[in-house]
Amino acid sequence: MKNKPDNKKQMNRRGFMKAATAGMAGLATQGCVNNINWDRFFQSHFKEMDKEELKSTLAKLEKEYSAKYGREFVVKATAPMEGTLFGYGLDLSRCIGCRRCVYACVGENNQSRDPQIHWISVMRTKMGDKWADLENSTRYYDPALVPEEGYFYMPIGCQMCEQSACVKVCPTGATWKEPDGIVVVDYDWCIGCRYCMAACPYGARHFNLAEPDIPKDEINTNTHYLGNRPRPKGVVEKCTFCIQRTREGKYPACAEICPVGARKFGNLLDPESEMRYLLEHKRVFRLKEDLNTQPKFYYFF
Amino acid sequence: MVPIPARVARSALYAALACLLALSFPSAWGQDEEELVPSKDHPGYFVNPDGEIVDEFGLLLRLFEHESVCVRCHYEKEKYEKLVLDWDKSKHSKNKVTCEKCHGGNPKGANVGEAKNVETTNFQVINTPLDKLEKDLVPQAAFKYCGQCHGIKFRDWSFGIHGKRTGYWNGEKEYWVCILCHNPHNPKFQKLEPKPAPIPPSKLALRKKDEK
Ligand code: HEC
Ligand code: HEC
Ligand code: HEC
Ligand code: HEC
Repeated sequence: MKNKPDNKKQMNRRGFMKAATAGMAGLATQGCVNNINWDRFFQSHFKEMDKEELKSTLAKLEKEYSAKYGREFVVKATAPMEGTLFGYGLDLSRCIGCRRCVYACVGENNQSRDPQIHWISVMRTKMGDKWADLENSTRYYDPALVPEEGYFYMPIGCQMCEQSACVKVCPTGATWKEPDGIVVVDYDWCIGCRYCMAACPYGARHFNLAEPDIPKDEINTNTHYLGNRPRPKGVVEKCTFCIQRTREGKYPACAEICPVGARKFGNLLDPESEMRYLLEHKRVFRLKEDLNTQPKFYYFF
Repeated sequence: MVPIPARVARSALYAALACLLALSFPSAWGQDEEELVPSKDHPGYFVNPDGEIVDEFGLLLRLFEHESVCVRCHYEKEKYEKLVLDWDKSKHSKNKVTCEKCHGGNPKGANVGEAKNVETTNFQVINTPLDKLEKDLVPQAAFKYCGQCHGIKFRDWSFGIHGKRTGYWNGEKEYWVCILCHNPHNPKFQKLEPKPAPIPPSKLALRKKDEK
């Protein structure tokens, strides 16, 4: 399958850009937009780029990040594998709420440490409480040891919806669903309007309120254009199933770290995969199924 | 710090407990001590008034219920005392999953040679380090020690649902064997310290340079 750009959306973006640039000119005279990267500003949409433009864009980014962090960066644009549709499984009877996944994700995906961004939230709920809307749950629990008697834990990240509300509301086409099912964000096209954050029923999207702060010695230099490359201030980001890892066949970082083995990942189109076994043999459910978002993130017992 | 041998530490603990008990129930304590009679079947141990086998401090040892030379002899070896006490507390001990169920051997053997006769009792010394275990032997090892009783867990494990796999979702994987997560002598999964909670939005202060 080809990555066909969605023409209607492109038009919107173009129109929007015209209006926006006119506005910018006004602002620029007041000195508010002194660090605009004009090259980046006129860059094509990721899906429209030809081989040459993609190559030069990636090279430009590598140079920029390497200079900023003083380390050699790789920015890939690994394409989806033929015949894959990614799915994720999470065993609620096993999760103990230890948050190892949260911090493995932060490290792998270059989330800002300050202000703090966590793509995964682990929600704790009292057994017997109404939990499906997560309103009685907290992410700020802090006991000496987990699991605690009488509670269960539920990590939540991007649910990779087939009917993604976030994609539908994006005015610039900066976020879309890839053929392997991963919902991605192009940080160079995101204008930070945060409509997607309002639309997402799972609270899975996060906004860079300030320039992200990541210690130079902790930055992951192995990056993907649509994934964990360093983000600027003012854009939205979210879980990408570790696109830089999974498109090369590796498990996501959260699944690798999980000490209880609660996290499962695989290709939904492969009848031999762990995911398919799980769907056929376990009691699975998806969060807020009634909204018809059709997540590819399955919880099971 | 010089490590205190477990036995000494225990003696101290029980001595302290004994003092407390003696203070609160002086007469009862005196009585108990009188009633501990040396055990005929288990030299070095005692029988309490209820006919239970206890050690010199009156501590009940469930491990003697199993009448196993493996348990006895290993409990007496400093090096393995913890292993046996761990096992004694576990569900395995309560459910009669004794040493020989996993290791083979003859728990009624008259001496070590008889107990661990490799030819006649299929005694297994599980001493192949896990990282040296050949990949295709891993499922066998998991089956042998755990899977033969935990059938459903083993089935889930062999499809990658219970336990964990690392490496490549579409290729070469490492299969985590049961004992990487479960101590075979104390299999209940141990609690962990959680990583720090996220910072609540109310405390999410923006850094200085962005404030202006
Ligand atoms: C008379 C005492 C005695 C008896 C009875 C005994 N063991 Fe042992 N066992 C030992 C000692 C001592 C060692 C340590 C050997 C060494 O370090 O070389 C040991 C070691 C072991 C080991 C580990 C071997 C290794 O190389 O680390 C296993 C497993 C074991 N015993 C199981 C059993 C089982 C099962 C039984 C009952 C069928 C049993 N033992 C009966 C004394 C005993
Ligand atoms: C549920 C199965 C199981 C039972 C029951 C069991 N073991 Fe083990 N034991 C194992 C496994 C598996 C290993 C290998 C551990 C490893 O390689 O880390 C082992 C290792 C050992 C070792 C060598 C490791 C060491 O720490 O030196 C000894 C000694 C031992 N067992 C003794 C015993 C004794 C004594 C009992 C009875 C009280 C017992 N085991 C009961 C499964 C079992
Ligand atoms: C001879 C049979 C047998 C073997 C072999 C065996 N188990 Fe068990 N195991 C049991 C029984 C019986 C129980 C108690 C089940 C219950 O209470 O429902 C149990 C309980 C457990 C539990 C639950 C403990 C708890 O406190 O909740 C775990 C975990 C476990 N076994 C792991 C293992 C592992 C790991 C191995 C292999 C090293 C193993 N078992 C080998 C019979 C066995
Ligand atoms: C990645 C770590 C991991 C591996 C590998 C693993 N387990 Fe577990 N196991 C767990 C956790 C976590 C629990 C849940 C413990 C709890 O809730 O207290 C568990 C629970 C169990 C229980 C108790 C029943 C239950 O559902 O609570 C049994 C029995 C068990 N495992 C057997 C096995 C066997 C047999 C294997 C190997 C074939 C194995 N496990 C491999 C992590 C693991």
